[in-house]
Amino acid sequence: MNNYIKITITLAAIIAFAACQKKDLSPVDLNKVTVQYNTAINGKTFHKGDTITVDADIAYTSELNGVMLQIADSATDEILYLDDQDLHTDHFNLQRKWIDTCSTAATLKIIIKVAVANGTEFAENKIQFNVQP
Amino acid sequence: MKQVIYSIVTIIVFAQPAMACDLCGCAASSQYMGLLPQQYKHFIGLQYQYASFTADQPSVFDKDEIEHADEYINTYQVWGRYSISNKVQLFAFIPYHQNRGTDMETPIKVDGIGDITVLANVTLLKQDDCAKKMKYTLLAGGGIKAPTGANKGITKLDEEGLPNVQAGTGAWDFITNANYTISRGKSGLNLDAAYTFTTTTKESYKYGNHLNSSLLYFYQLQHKKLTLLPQGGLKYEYALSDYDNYGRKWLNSNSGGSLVFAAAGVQAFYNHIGARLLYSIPFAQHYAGGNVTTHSRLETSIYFLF
Repeated sequence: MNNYIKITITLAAIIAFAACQKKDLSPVDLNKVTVQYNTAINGKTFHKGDTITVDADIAYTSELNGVMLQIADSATDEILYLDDQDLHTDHFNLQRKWIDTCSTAATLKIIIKVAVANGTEFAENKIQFNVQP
Repeated sequence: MKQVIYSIVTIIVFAQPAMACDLCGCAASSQYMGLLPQQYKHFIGLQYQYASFTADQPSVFDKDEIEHADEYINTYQVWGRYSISNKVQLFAFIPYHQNRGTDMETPIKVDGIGDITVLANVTLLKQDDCAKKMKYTLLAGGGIKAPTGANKGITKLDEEGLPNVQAGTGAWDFITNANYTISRGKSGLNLDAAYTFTTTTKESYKYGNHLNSSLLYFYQLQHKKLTLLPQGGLKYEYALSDYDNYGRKWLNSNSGGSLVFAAAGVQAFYNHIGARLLYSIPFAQHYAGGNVTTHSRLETSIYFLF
């Protein structure tokens, strides 16, 4: 009987120990989120009907939890394109296409927002380009 | 969302360590084996389990944007017991999964053999003297769940959080369990508990360790060769959080939790044939931060005793 008690106590101790869950406690540093564009968009001019390809490598020293791509009018903040998705990796290649439908000249901005730290912290990368009718 | 689905499936699929006790052969976790008469040493049977859940996961970027998923899990399982001796019993479970559902309107369809579990249990305490009013049995043991089911590892879809539930988990599990049954006359109680220690997949994903337990009351009705065992009680399940990457300690705080079910069912035995039906309704649950709702479960089984 004593052996059973010892086994039970040992097992309970193992389970209790196993219940302790370590987590990545490295401090969040949004400066370490990198967004590297593989297509030249920044400062370029596009025309109505052009397809704008956003191809960007996103990386972080810890886990990426999500990425959001937004294309908006820099002057009015009107959103022309919006998409987001969850991530569970430390690097991701974002590829999206948007067809320029603007009838007036404008400066647009591409914002890539990256969620880290279980979605509690966000890094933002912004570039601009021009559209012409 | 994928991790949430995985976690739920993990609890259901991995909850297979419940054992038959020696007194009346009962077990009461998610993998409820029923009350098995001990005049037969071995059995082989076919089991069907149904479970479903709904997930409403807020988007990382917009909490008002809800990612909705429905999952229906059908498991057909061949299982059996082989008694090596009066004290040692071996159990094996070979599941076949047929999962259906949608995740953000993307269809989920999974068919295939799952992970096989093998367990051994030893009778530690036993009082079955007919002269005594109280009878009891304590069984305990453990086993392993092997990654025999199809698993393609972490795919690009997984990384993007899209549905890609697979038949196998891609990881070994180690299980320990205990089963205590006490009865007096035609009434009895069964307490069953199983704890699963998970390990990592090749990609370092790790499901949370989990506990499955239950407390069931049963009553025996006899009519000639037919034995009926109505039963009812509670089931409790608890799971730690998963790790998206265990090596880097990426704890997925959006997983893990607990569930409490009210369960009722009946078993029937006639000669060498046994059958079982158990229905469980969750009445308290908090899983994945409250974003996942588990619905009722059904377990049915038929087996041949020899």
